[in-house]
Amino acid sequence: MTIGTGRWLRSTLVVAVVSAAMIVLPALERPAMAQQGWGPAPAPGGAYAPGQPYAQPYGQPYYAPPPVDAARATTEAMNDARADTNGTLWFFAGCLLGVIGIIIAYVAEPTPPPARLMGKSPEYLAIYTTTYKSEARSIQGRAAIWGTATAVAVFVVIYIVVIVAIVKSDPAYSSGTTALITSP
Amino acid sequence: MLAVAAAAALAATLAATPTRIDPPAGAATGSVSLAADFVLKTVDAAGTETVSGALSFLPGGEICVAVKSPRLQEMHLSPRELVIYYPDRDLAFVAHLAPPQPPPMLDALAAGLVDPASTLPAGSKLLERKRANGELLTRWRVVDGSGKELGELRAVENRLGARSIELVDGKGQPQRQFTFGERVRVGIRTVPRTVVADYYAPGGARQREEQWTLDRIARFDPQKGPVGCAKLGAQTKIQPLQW
Repeated sequence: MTIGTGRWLRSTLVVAVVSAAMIVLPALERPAMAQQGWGPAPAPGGAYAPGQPYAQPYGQPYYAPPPVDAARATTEAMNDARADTNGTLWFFAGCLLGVIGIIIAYVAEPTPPPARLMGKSPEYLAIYTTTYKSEARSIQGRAAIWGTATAVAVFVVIYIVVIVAIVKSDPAYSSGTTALITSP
Repeated sequence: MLAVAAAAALAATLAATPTRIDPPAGAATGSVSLAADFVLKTVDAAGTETVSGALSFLPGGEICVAVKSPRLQEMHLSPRELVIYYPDRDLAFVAHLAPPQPPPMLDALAAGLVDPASTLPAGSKLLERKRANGELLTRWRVVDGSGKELGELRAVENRLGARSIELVDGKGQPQRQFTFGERVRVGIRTVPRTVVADYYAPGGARQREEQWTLDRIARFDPQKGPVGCAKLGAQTKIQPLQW
């Protein structure tokens, strides 16, 4: 019974971890895409929701943005965000500030270039700005996480090296080891 | 306690640091007074797109853009607000900006209107300055307020103004390149008739090119008033824009 419960717990844990990873990783990777995929469908009327197709007021027919325009807005926003975001800066922010750096990376608001919005439709504008900011924040955050992870790894290695050096240089440790080796 | 204070100071600096090297020309264009028709051709992987209309740089740092083709659109860029208005739908997107967000700016045009050196952060250092064939070549190390080196600015100027500005990152890869054509005098300034702005992706691959052509360039006339300043009516549908 105990062994069965243990197996069940282990299986549940594995499933939970994998499921959580499948949900969280794409969101970290591409929040804009994740949002588009999982967000609630746009209401047929009422206020406009960023990242969703423009909704007409009540009583008027609802038109989704042309798919080509939406796809182009997403692609161009992601390309521009990648080109404009300085990953190296955020990597070092993660190194120096740790969790604070990661938080700033996800909170700091990158701004898209206004010239990219000239002559574009309202739908393009809304999708472009949302995707640009989302992608840029994602890049900043990932770089900061890598920076923090690198700093932690370096600290762990240094810590282990120092501990080993201290333990090895300790006369009690040496004599104890010798006593253990020489004892019958 | 000191470590926390230092981290907070660094965090504040970081939040205010631009993620790309751009000419921070918002303040520098404050005294520009200009009106012109424009054609903007954008060339990227998706093809070529052409936008045309009229624009005004107003004294005080505001910019108004009236796009006439491919669709009607008005843009009002000011240090604390960006309004994008669609007259045919009476729909406006409004973004409110707060420090440390930089003011929205048409980078390519702004770069052509101001002295390249005046756009640099205060900590920047002059690396080289030489004259050749009647032109002045300068190289600047771009250093932000926290002392971090962002890259290098290379400018070529003649007696009328800048002929080209190039921004490269710390590894020597190009980030932005602005090339200015023939200039016309408007008041105390000279304005390039054409600006070609090349934007590069990390690693140095060219991502897109903006080709600006200005026509009927004149000093902004307050009597006529600006066009394209996105005047919103009482019935205008206003949508907040994340910026």
